[in-house]
Amino acid sequence: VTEATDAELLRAYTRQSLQRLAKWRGLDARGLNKAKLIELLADELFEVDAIGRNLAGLLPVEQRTMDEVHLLGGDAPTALVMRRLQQEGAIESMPRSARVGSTYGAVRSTAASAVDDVLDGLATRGDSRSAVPPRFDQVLAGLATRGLVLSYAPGAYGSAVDFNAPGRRLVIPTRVLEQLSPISVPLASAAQPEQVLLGSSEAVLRDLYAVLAAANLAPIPLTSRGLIPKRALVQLDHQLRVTEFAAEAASEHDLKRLPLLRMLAEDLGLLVASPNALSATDRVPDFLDQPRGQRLSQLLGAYRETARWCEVLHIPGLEIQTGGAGRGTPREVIQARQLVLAHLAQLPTELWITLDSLLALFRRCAYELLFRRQLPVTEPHWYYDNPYAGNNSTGWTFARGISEEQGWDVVERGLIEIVIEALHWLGVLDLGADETGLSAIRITADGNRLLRNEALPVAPVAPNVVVQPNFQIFVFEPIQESVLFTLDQFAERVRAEQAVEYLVTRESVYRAQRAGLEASAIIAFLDRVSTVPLAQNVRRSLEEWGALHERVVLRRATPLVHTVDAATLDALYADAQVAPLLGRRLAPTAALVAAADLGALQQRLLATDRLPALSEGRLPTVSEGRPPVLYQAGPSGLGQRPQPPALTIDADGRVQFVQRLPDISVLRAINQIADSQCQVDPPGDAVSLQLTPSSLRRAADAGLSADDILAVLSRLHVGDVPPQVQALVRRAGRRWGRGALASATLLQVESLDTLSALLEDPDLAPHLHRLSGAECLALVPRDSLKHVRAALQARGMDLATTLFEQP
Amino acid sequence: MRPKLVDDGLSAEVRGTWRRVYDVRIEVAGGRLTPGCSCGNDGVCSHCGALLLHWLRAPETFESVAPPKLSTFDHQRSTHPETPAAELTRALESETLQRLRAIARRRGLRLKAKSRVDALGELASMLAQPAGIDAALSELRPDQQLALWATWLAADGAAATDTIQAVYERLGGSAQAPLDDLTERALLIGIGQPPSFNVPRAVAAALQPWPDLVASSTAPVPRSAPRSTHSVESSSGFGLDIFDVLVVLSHGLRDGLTASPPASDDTSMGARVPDGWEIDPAEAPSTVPIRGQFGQQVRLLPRSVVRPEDLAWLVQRTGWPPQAVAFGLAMLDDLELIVTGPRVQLVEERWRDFAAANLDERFSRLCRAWLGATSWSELALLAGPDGAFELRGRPVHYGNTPSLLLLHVAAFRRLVGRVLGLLTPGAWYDMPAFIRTLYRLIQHTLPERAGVWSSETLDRLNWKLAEARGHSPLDFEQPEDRARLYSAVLSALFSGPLTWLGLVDLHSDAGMLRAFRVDPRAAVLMGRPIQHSPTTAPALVIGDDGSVVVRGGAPDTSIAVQLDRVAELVHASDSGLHYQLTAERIAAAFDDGLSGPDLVAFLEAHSSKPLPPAFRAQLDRWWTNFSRVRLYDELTILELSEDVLEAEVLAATPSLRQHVIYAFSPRLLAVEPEATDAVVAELVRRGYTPRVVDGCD
Repeated sequence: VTEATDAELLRAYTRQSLQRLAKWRGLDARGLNKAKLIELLADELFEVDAIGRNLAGLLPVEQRTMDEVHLLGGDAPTALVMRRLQQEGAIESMPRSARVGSTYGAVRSTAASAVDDVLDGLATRGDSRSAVPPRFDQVLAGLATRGLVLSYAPGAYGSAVDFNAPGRRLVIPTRVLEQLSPISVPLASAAQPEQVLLGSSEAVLRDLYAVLAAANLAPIPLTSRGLIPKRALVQLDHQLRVTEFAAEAASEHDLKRLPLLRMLAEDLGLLVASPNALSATDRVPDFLDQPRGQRLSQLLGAYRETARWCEVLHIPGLEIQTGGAGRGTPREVIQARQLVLAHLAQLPTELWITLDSLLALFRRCAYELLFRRQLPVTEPHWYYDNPYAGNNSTGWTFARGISEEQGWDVVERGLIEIVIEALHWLGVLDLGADETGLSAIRITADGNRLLRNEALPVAPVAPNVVVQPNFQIFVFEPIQESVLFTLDQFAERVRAEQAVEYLVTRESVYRAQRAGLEASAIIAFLDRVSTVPLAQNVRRSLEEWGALHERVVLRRATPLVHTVDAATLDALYADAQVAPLLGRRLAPTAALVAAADLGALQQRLLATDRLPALSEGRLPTVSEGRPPVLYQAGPSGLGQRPQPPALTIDADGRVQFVQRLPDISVLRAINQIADSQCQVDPPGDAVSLQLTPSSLRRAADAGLSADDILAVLSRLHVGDVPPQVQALVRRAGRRWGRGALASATLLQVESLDTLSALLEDPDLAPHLHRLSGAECLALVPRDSLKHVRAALQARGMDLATTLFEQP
Repeated sequence: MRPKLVDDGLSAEVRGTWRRVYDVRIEVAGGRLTPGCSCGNDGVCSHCGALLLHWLRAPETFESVAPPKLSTFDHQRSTHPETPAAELTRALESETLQRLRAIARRRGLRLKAKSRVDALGELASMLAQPAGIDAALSELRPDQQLALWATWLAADGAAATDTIQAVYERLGGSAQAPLDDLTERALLIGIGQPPSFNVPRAVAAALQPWPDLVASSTAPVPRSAPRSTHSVESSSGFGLDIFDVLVVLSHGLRDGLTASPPASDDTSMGARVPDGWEIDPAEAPSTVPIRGQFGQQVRLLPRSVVRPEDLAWLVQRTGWPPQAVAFGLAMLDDLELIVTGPRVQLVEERWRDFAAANLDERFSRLCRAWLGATSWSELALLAGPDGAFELRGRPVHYGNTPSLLLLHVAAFRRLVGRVLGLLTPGAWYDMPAFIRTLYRLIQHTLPERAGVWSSETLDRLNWKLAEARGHSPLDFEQPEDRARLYSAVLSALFSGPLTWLGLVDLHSDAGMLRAFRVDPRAAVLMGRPIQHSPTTAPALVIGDDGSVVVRGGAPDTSIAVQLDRVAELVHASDSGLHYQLTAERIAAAFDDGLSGPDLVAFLEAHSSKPLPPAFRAQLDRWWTNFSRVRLYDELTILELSEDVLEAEVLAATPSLRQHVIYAFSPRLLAVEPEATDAVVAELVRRGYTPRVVDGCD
């Protein structure tokens, strides 16, 4: 459809040409500039009665020409129309003298002919009795003089077109187009094909659910290129009703249906891809809760608009160089898809149509389905006039070396076939095949409604779920995907065939509880969907599991108010202005606070003279396999603000905190090395802790060294740690190991030689033990004393009872 | 705050839950992020997360860290100049051992060191001793003393022999100035060949005043002339001194103010104008200057560091005139106490260091910043929007050579400073006589041409001064025009920086500046310590409601810094800086380790009397109640439904035992956040089904 106004179409013609036309139509155009000329002619040509008169007097060849332009949407390449009429023998080709290509793509006549001359020629040749068909330029001149088909030269600046030298495009003015009756192109209906592949909307809905359920149970991993890795692809494919044998595929790119489902789910916001995983979103339950028709409508709507799915990239055997654009979907492909869908919406329903006739229809009516042509009426240039060679708005090059005329049957036809395949998956149409392959299609009644954006009839579906006392759950057809999706959350799927079987276990229920589905909600769900009353044992077990879930609650990153004693917290709850800012009381001295109320609570405490101490951020963590970290140091080199000193320790090791209620990380650090547990909860605000030898030994046993302890104390202590405390830590804060104190007898001799001689003596050697580092000393065991004494006296050695000074 | 793009990642100060500020840095190396935060947490804490999020949302707000500023007068302007001994060591480092020993002999010093290096250190250390310098100066002959003064006055950095000789003669010297005698005693330092000379800082600090350099005032000066003219009290009636004003400005800049946008797109077009100036928007050039060519003539206006509306706000807070506030901002910038980028923001640590320094140090740094300033000039007081002059010229496309006119005025400013430094504090001087003295020196001491990279001379200036009423530019070839310039700049100096800094008291008569008196503070111009006059007035006045007034002109700026911890600055008035002690500030200070008794002691010590009873009671109540309540912003806690569960769960899950931080009660345990997954996994293994919740219900 032309985008230009009818008057603007006349602007493409030269002023000289417009003047000749005005003169021929008997209009006084003397002295008029071009704008006035256009105004004059537009009033003359595009008046409704005038259009009717002009249409009534058309020659057959003119009507034929006009129909062809009309079929092509009212805006068509001149050369394409000419080519088709020539093939029919309806026209003679234009004289070579008229085929002088202008710079801007128009074709100029070598000499402007008088309108009458041209029309005379047309009248002569256009007569059905004439043996010679009219020339195309004559036909176009006849149509143009009546304003029924005009011509323009895209991209041309200013006037470039003459009545007998048309531009590269032909266009039927809008006001004329409005007066034309639709043209019906006959489609060949087909007999019932040998093989029928029914489009199944149930299958696509079930498979979409399967993908969503899988992603909901655990995010589907993605490769760095955003593709589902092979292993996950195979697992996913196995769960689908329509499998694509993913095990044989090299990557997700080799599949079509599953990637399309994934992309539509992403477009609908049901799946979201993070850098390394594909996860289900919160929208899934609401989506699955919708009636089948609405879900199908949304799927088709997503398909109509998606930029994630590019049909051209899936045409078998077609090599494309995308020029670095990757696998994105050009706008042209999305528009082509939408045009195909619009044409299919006009087809009869429940009627088999041969694929060939359908493709012929598209070829005739949507030749520029993907690429707009700028064909010259002369011999086209291989590159400049061939969109498949790279001269197109997508920048793509089709590597098979196909010509402009061959290209449609490869690219556009392939695109239409891929669209048909997608619509088959979506249940919009059935496919028929014979021994040569796909041969026919049949638009289903529902498919036709979907294509026309009409609502599908809603057939109420009652849940068909049976919960057994043994915790088995069976879901029978008709199955609602939303029921399955909910069951997936709290039950293990055992098998999925005609009926889907689940088993409820404590683990599966806990998994659901972790995901936010409470046991009470599970019971309510089963009460609603089960066709039999819920067995009492199942109900009781679920209730019990619900209660157990509340026994231990772990809260992450929660704000908390901690008070020095219970009375202080009592007073806060009693204050009408503070109490609304407090959450549930978790302990006598601790209560939850909503993060949003934290600032207000601080201000309220300040206003009531209860100046709070403030702790910020996460508490430090003990690393695995290392001694406990007493107090976390900040990263070095960052100009860390020194932690304010938190305590003093007197010479006896008694700890006195600077603040009445220290941060619990300080308490933890001191509790590890002090002798008593911190008792701040009972009334009374004294925190009594003391470093004692036993507490320090306990810390040492836990793996802390004296240096560790002193480092912590020096960080927390106001001023220097007292020397007595340092000494205590050095003394008691380490493991000294075992020791022994025993009496022993030493033998001392005057020289190393003497001791060596004694040790070499077989009689004495077993009874003497050299002392490391002492040259003249040896240890004599108690049992050997008598023997050694006798032996030495026998050698004449004078034995003293005390050690003598060694020279 | 102040997000920066540094070489190896990102950095910023991040305000946490309780408005505490944390230093956060995210380093990027080998494709990995290494977070670091002064909150002390490993890994990506909430502050690191906030920085990363800010980077994703507003990367354009991150400032690329620029290289440090280069200064024309580095040795003068440096915020931490070298010590006198280091200056002497640098000056004498090329001397031989024999020569070092000769200098020592001339100064009556005995060197023990054997090596040249050791002797150099030893001699420099001895030469820097004030007592030795005083002794050496006392032995000088009159001609030597005159030569020393002449060198001090001539040397803007250093002066050539000819220059010193000319000044020496203009000041009454005859024959050859005995520079060698002084150099041999190391009372002068000779640099380079042929040598230039300067007076070492240690010697300058010991130079005797020269009472006769300028004739004393003969005009009748009231004996009780206002002493307060070191502030702007005489003009505005406010009693704040420059440091009080800097305190107020620092408060205003703590959270940052939007930087002044370019008045025209001259910068984007590549047109260069001198630092601190911008093209008058009404005269922005219509054409882009072509590389290497001059553009069309425009008028320059002084450029404020902050936007006009913010400047007006600061003026209102300080009560000082806009030009004085702009001067204060420029000095903060020169002292590198603020950073300028898309926003102008105080650098807290540097400001605290500056304010905590003693008065000598602060005043000395401030005066050095002023004397060395190039991006701020007294011409800003003359050629502003309503000034008597206009600064006109043509922007050039490239090159960043400072304007010779601005350099000339800056050199004039330093000359005035050197002359004032030699005058006797407390004595009144006759202004015409002062001008005559300056004229004797100007010819020999001020630059007539720019540096080697510029062809500017005083008679061929790129940026010219013209009288605002359409007169042609001043022609510095003409003595009358030169006199017009110096007279105007001198007037701006005395009514501007010299008054704002409290260096002079002025005496005017019939609108004419007749006489001035050098304040003892001017000792800093010679590098001498300031003679503090003892004051008995308390620095603080504390009200019943916790309002605190810091007396204007109090010598101890650190009081204001300490007050910042516990009080909000409310406004400034002629009585001083008005603060309000607030529960929030005091709670934060208590949290940082300040005790109630310490706070009381501080307030009472500086107010010289006990606190008002009502406020004392309030303070006691705050301290007594402080930390009876503690707020945590993100704890990981384990809630148990029964008391008996604690023992059961702890026995069943060893990992939980290891990761429990604190037991609030048998039913409530604080757990290490990083251990959550491990704890939950183990609980599940042991048959528990814990509920995991993020945050409060």
